[in-house]
Amino acid sequence: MKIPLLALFLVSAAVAEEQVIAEILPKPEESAWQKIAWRTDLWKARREAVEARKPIYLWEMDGHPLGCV
Amino acid sequence: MADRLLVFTNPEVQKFLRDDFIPVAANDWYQRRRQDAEGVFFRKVAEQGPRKDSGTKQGHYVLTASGKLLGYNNNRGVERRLAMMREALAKWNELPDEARTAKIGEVGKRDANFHRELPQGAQVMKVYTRALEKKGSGLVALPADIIGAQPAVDHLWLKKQEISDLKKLVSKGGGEVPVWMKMRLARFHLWDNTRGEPRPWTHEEVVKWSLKIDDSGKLIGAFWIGSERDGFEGKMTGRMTFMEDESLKEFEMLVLGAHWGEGRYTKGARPGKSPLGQVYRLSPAEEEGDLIPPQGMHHEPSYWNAQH
Repeated sequence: MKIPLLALFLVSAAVAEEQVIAEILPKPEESAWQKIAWRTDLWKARREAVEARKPIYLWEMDGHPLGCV
Repeated sequence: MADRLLVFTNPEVQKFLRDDFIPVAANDWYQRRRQDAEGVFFRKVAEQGPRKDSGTKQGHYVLTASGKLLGYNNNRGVERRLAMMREALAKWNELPDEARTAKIGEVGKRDANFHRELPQGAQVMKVYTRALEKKGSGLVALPADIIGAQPAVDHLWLKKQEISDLKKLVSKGGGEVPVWMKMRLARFHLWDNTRGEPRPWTHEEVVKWSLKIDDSGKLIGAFWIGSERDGFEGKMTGRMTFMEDESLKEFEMLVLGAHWGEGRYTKGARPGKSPLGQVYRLSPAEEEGDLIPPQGMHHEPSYWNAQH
């Protein structure tokens, strides 16, 4: 079967695009920090801390630690 | 951002946070400024530590629900962080039971100047940005030990009416995306945030721009933003499709280009023009982390009306 050249080009371009997308997206080891159940509302977390009788661990950063940068 | 990889991937830290703490993450830019109950509470905690007289209050705090500071650290070493957590937990265990609880009232009205929420019906796109390098005929991620090698994550917000307008544009055969979308993307998203917080581009710095959507939702475009000092030029390809109710069914966009220069909070740029890639992808926005406001939303009206 003869495959048109244009079709081959489009397939290879699509494969290259998928490859670079995979390079940009976080790899599993880079996402491991998201296994932690981060809360984003400090006030609600205070209530939860009282219920659970646990202290709060607060991560403060210029630019949200879970996003932005 | 180094904390994500250096500290919070550590299994001992993860177990500690899961079993013994309520982990919270917050944007200090808002927290230290907000004039509401949450801001008052946070500043009361921060003033007990070494950030008392500092402009920024960044760092890692352990505190009781009533606001007593038990530990503080801003070091990225995992051993020092673990030591701080152990010491803080020891202090917690020594507290009388009444000091481990608190009466938490209503939070009251949030300070609208420093509090952001996703508008009703709006949708969220995850925006991943990664510094790349050439390898053979392709582009690959930088080695993990280089500054800025990890991907940055941000969010693009689109309002319900804006999505509806984009669907109408597609239904009518397509064309250039509206100017609000052009400027929101150009000024607040097409940047290099892999080493810290970049500055928004000005209107004048959006020098060249085209982003067309066709009648099938296919996106294609190119841009040149910035100046000789710092900037980003590249191409955009992607696709958006819609549900019957006019919400987004799919939004996927790849940006590939070259970035140059650095800003006050993004030091350590590679010399010259370097490959930079972005992936925009529709998020179900089901987890708290998906609802973090866009970095460009410090001044909310500028984000929504980026064309003005």
